[in-house]
Parts: sequence; structure tokens; C-alpha cells
Amino acid sequence: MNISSYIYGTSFYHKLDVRPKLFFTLLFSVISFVLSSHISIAVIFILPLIIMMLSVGKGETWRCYSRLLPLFVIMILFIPFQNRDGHSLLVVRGFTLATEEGFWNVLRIISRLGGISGVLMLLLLTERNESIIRGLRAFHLPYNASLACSMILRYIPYLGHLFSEIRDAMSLRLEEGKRGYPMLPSITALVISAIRMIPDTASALEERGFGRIKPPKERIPHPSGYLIQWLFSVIIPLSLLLVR
Amino acid sequence: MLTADLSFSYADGRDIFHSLSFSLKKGGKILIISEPGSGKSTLSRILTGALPGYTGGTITGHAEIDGKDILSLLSYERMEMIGRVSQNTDELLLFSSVEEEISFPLINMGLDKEEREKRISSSLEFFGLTQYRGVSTSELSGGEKRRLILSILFAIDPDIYILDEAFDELSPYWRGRLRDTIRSSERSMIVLGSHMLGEYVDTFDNILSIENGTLRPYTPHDSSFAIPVMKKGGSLLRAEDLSIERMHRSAGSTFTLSVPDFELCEGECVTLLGDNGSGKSSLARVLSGLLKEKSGSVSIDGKALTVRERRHDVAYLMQNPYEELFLPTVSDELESTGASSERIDSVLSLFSLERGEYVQELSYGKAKMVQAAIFLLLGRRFAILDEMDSALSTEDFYKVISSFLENGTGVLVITHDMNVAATLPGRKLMIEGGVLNEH
Amino acid sequence: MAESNRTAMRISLIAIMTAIVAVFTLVIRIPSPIGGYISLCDAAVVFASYAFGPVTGFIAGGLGTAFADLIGGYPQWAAISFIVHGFEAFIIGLMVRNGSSTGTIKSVVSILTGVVMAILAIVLSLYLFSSLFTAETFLKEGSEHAAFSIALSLIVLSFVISFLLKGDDSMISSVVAIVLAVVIVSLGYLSLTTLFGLTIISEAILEVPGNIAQSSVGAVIGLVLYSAVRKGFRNLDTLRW
Repeated sequence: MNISSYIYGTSFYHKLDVRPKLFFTLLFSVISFVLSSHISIAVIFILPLIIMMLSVGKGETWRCYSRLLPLFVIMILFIPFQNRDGHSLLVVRGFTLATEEGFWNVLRIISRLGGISGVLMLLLLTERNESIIRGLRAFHLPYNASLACSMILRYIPYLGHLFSEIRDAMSLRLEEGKRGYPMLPSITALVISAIRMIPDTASALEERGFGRIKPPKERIPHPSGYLIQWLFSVIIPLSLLLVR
Repeated sequence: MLTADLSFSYADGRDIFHSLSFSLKKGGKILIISEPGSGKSTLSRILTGALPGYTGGTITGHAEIDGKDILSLLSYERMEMIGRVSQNTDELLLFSSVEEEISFPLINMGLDKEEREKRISSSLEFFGLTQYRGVSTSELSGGEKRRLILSILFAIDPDIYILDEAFDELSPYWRGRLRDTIRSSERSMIVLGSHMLGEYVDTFDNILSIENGTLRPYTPHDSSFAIPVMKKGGSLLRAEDLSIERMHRSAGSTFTLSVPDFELCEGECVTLLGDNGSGKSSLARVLSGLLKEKSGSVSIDGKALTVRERRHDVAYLMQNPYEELFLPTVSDELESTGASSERIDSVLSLFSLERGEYVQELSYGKAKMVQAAIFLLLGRRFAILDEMDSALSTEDFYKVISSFLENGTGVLVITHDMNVAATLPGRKLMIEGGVLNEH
Repeated sequence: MAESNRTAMRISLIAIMTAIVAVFTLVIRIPSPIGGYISLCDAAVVFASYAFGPVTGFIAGGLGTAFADLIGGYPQWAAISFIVHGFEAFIIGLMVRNGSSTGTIKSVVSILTGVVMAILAIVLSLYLFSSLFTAETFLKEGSEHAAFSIALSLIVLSFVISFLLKGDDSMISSVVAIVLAVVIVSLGYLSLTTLFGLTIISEAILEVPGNIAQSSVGAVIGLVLYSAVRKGFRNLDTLRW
């Protein structure tokens, strides 16, 4: 089970420090909601796409965006149902197939979905999970919460692996269900195993010193050009407001 | 510097040991060898503070380091005085990357960045894990995880080290290095184990054993328990020209195990030996129908079996019994096999289990007995026991094998312990260099 | 220092339950009555809130599904999943204060409710499919208002119902729990995805039957899971906080 989408690279987006990157991701997503001009629709969609191609290559970009294609297709197919009382755009045999408003509405939504998905995927593709968590710490994510996030990322693959072992073990003992393994006993055993681990995990935290000192203040050093990175991360999304 | 006199009983009243007393001088090394379930891990947990903790239980007695009572201190207060490596590696791994795992305790000790970096890099280097520094812990193999928790303990460097079955799953090279480290270290060390290993010889000042709940000097004794007797006859399980592909978790490479010829008769006992990671479990999975072989065939009495068909005839008792248990009480589990009431009762008394006991409240050893009881009652023609000797006392281990053999079940015993293998009847097989041979 | 004891336990509980929800969402799938697969995330969410209360359920259910979305390649839904499933867990958790073992009759009724909801899903999907071709005005774009009012009334109604049935361990409350779970998940995704402008309302409606099927089956399994685990694990309640 792969919990990390991180792909190693040396592109400029990879080199962008995680803190301005997080802020850029958020700001970009939020701003995409208030834009409606034709230009902004195009930029919102195309900008993350281009950055992704430059950072991780065409193959990976296709892999990410192809997951959204079915949704895009459905939305395009539903253009006929949008804004039926607008200016006709496409008329077939006297039947208004698409209106101008409907068309741009759907495009707006497609670009927003594509843009937000793209910029989020970019974050996950160019930053390791631990550094994202450390970046969130810099934005005042509580220390205990960051510990919990790290633990969650440890237990997800572990429990996933445990589940496949349990599935195998159960199928040795019981008749296989229609799904190829006895489901209810397997998930019961999984949940029980997980709950059993809770007290041991709590003890382990304490044996490793949890609670001994106040949460440490971790300062990630600023890379060169830090200020410029921040400037770009803020200015680029805000400049879209100009073409709102 | 450490003196202790302890008695402990679990929350449900079960006594584990009473008046267990010993002392350890500064720089001293002691070894405690005793059967699984005798309380070694419990002892280590009491000393570091994991017990009574969240699991409950009553401790009476005292334990002091340099005269200072440690039982009243919390776990994190004892961190620099005493620390342990536990038998179950997953218990002590908390975070997603090696770096986080090893820095966490050091940060909590209040060390500054330079000191932390020094300890981390020297500890990881010593245990050969430097290249795994940025890696996720889920990608490490069993032996690497053990080295990781060892390196964490060595980075913390408490005054007293407790190593609970630390040699398990390590390759011979690392066992040797660990032994050398123990010998040459200035720290005091307590090593816990269930069998005498070659590496233990000439390493310790004192060798003790927990018997009947107290510590006595260790005396190697031949087991006086009835050795299982084979009852050959019946169907023959055969594997021919098997080629099994396995993935090396961290190396990412595949390695092939080849089995030219393997035979197991009903009622026969065969022992399979091999180092950790050699492929014993993979073979077991192929035989029991959980894994498809790359090429070759598995047949019973000449009739080739598909992967699914094998599951009906070959039972595989996995190392962790809880993966195969899911019902509330022992009787629920046994009754689910569909066996008659009389058979269930006889197995219950044979394995010393009680009907009403809650599965989740059983000790690890007892849970393993329940697992064995279930497969015994299911009446499979063949059974594969994976590393059962490290979970059960010798008596219980023989009991399980005997029950299967008497039932006419063909038993394949997997173990990495040569001494245990020597006491069992029947042929011995060994996996060496990716090939299965007679031993 | 007693606080740090409880904190270590709390963190472990939340981390592990969140991981369980995530694993259920990512890995555990069964064939759906409507075709394709449905993930059993709601089983884990319902279990977490039943077993450990509204707050743990909220965090485990919300973060768990959000993490699953982030890891699984659908990060755009993470925020919405967090809100929807977090809220679902919170409301259900409020309704069950002190869990006790569910009897056989209750399980049967719960399962029946689930089956009814699954049938409802099939019927609803047929209706929606046919209605799409009659140019109904409620499918007109600009129904962000509709989405917003759905969301708002959902929140208010859920709170009202849960407080009415708070701590009540009867059959009615488990049935209502399932219904609420289903309603919250399906309408929640519908209203929020439209509200957040991530899709158009007609597409979101297409997802409703699937969500109904998934959450009904999931909720029922969650209850069954809870009673199964509870029977085997007598100390379950001690982990609540």
C-alpha cells in the first residue's frame, strides 16, 4: 500500500519550500471560487497542468488527470440541462442543445475542479508526507496533532498489510464468501487487532519519552530565496483577481 | 546497581511470579532463559514502566536503581535509566519514517540538534541502517526492524539495557555483532531468551531462569516430556519442481526458492529449517493454497491441486494466532468448526483450555493453543506449524504436535532453532541458498 | 502528570481508529447491489462513533476518510469527506452515549432497514435517470441556494433528532442512526460538492443512489461489527473518553 504520492524531482516546484507551497495551494483553491471571466477559467485549469508537466512529466500528469476525465465527460454531457433559458448556442433541429450561459457554467466548474485537484496533487507529488506535516506545524498545527498524523501514516499501511494476512488466514479456516474471502470475520479480527494495539502504543509513546518536555519548537531553516518564493506564491493567485 | 524483588499478578488475578529477586551490578550482564509465557516480557515491562500502565495488574515488592525507587516513576522518567527492546517489533514502532522514529526519544530527552545528529548517525551506521534513514518503516524487513529498534535503544543509551529476544530474526552476521556489542559494552544488560543460543556462551556473568515464578540459576535440562511419535500411513502430499518467487521488501528484488521434491505423508512429521528470510513461510503459503507458485505442481496422491483446493486439505497455522481468531469465547471458536461436543470437550481438556474464557483475554500461548485446537477439530489432512516453538513451552509444543500426529495429520514443523529440530522425529529439510534439501 | 497519561492514550486511540477508517475506505470493498464496488468506509465510521463516542468518531471518521482520499488519488474530495463523514460520526456518536450489546432482533431490524435503503437507492436512480430527460427546473444551474438550504436543514434536523434520542439504546435509535447516516452521507455529498462548486448539481444527483447504497450497507455492517467486537472485547468501554 503506497501512502506517499511523492515523486522525486528537481523542478522549481519541488524546490519551492513547503510553507509558501501550502499557502499557494490554499490561496489558489480559494480564489478559484470567485472567478468567472473566460480568461480566468482558462488560467485556473491550465496553470496547475503546466506546472505538473514541468515537475513530474507527462506520464504522471496524465495519470492524475485521467481520474477526473469521467467526471468531466459527464458534466459536458449535461450541458443541455444547464440554464435552459439562456442565449442559445447550439441548436439541432430546432431543439436548443446548449445555451451560452450553460456552456460557460459547466466550463467554469470543470476548470475549478481540475484546477483544485491539480494544485492539491502537485502538493502531494512534490512534497514528502513528513515535510507537509512539518510545514503545517509552522502554521501552528498543534504538536500532538502532528504526532497523531505521523502515527496515522504509519498505521495505515501496517493495518492494510495486516488485513491481507487476516484475509488469507480466515480463508484457510472458513469457507470463502462470495467476495473470495469471509468478510465479516476478517473485518472483526482486523478491528480487534487494531484496538489491542492501542494500550501498547500508548505505553510505547511514554517509554519513548512522550510527556517529558513541552512540545519542541521546530524551526525549519529558510532556503535561499525564501522571501521571493513567498512573494510569488502570494502574488500569482492574487493577480488572477485582476482578470476576475 | 539494580536490585529488585517483585511479585506480579494480572488484572484477572493470574499470578505470574512472586518474590522474583535479582541484582545487577554496574556493567554486569545477565541472561534469563525460560519458556515462553513464564513472565520474561512481563518483567521487562515492569522495569520500564509499561506495566501496570494501561494494561493493569498489581505489582508488589520493590525495584531500585542506585538506591532510588523506580516503580514510582513514570515511564518517561525512567527513560535514561532503563530501556528495553521488546520481542514484538511492531509494538515499539510509532511513526512513519525511520528518521522520526529515532529522533523522537532524543528530542524528548532534551538533547540539542548537534548531539541528536551525532547519536542518530552513529547508531544507524553501527546497525547498518544509514541508507534507510529517510525510508518509511513499513518498507523494512523483519530483521531490519529489529536492528532499528536496537539502534533506537543504543541512541538513547540508558544505563541499563533490556534485550528481549533481540537475537530473533537477525542474520548470523548481526547476531555475532550484537554479541560482541554486549560483551564490550560498559552498560549493564539484561538479555531475555527462551532458548540457549550459541551466541550466549561466555557472554554473561550470570545465567538465570524463571521457574515456578521465581528466579533460579539456569540448568540446561533435557525435556522430560513425551516426544511426539509418528503414525505414518495414508495420503501423500507432494510438491514437484516448485519455483516460488519472493520479493525482498527493502531490496525490491525478487528471489526464487526452488523445491525439486517435497513429500509429506499423513501422520508423518517433517521439520523444515532455514534462516530467517529464507522462504520457509512462502513455501508454507504455497502448500496451503495462499500463494501461487511460479511453476511446478502440488498434488495429493498424484492428483494435482489448484490453489483453492489446497486450502481444504492443508492447514497453515500462522505465527500470529490472533489473525485467525474472531469470535468472543473459546467455545464459540471451537464450536464454529462444526465438531461434535465430545470431541470439543476432549480437545479442551487436552489443551487445558476453558470453555468460557474470552479469546482476547488469553495469553499469547493460550491463544496459540486455541488456534491449534481449531485446526485439529477441522480435521485437515496436513498441518503446517510456523515457528510454534517460540510461542509455546516445550510441553505444550510437543502436546500440539502429538495431537495432530495421533489424529493422523501430516505435520510440517517450521523452525529456525536447530536444538528443537533435533528433538523431533522424522526427516529434516533445510532451505539453503534458495533450494530445499534434505538435511 | 496524569494528563500526559491520558493524552498518550487519546493520541493512540485517535491515530489507530483514524487509520482503521482509512484502511476500510481504501482497501475493504464489496460488490455493490447497483454494480461496481462500494467501499465500507461507513462501517468503520459508524463503528468508531458507536464504540468511542462523538468526538473520537468525528476525528477518526473525518480525518480517516480525508486521509484515504488524499492517499488514494482523489485529494479534491478530502475536505468534503472530512466534513460529511465527520459530521455523520458526530451525530451518531451523540445518539449512543453508553453502548451496550445489540440483541439479535435489533440486528435483524437494522439489516432490514439497510435492505430497504438499498432498494430505495435503486428506485431513486431509476427515477432520476428518467427525470433527467424532462428538463425539470430544479436541475437548473444556480441551485447553489438549493444546495445550501439542503445542507443547513440537514444540520439542524440531525442535531434535533440526535438530542431527542440521546443515550437511548433502543431499536429505534439504531434504526434512526442508520437512516441518519445514509441521509447525511448522500445529501451531504450532494449539497457540499455543489456548494463548493466542484461539480454541477445534475452530476451530483447521479452520485446520490450510489452513496445511499454505500452508506446503508456500510452503516448496517458497522453496527454488526460493533456488536461482534464488543462481545469479544469486554474492556471496550474503558477506552472511551
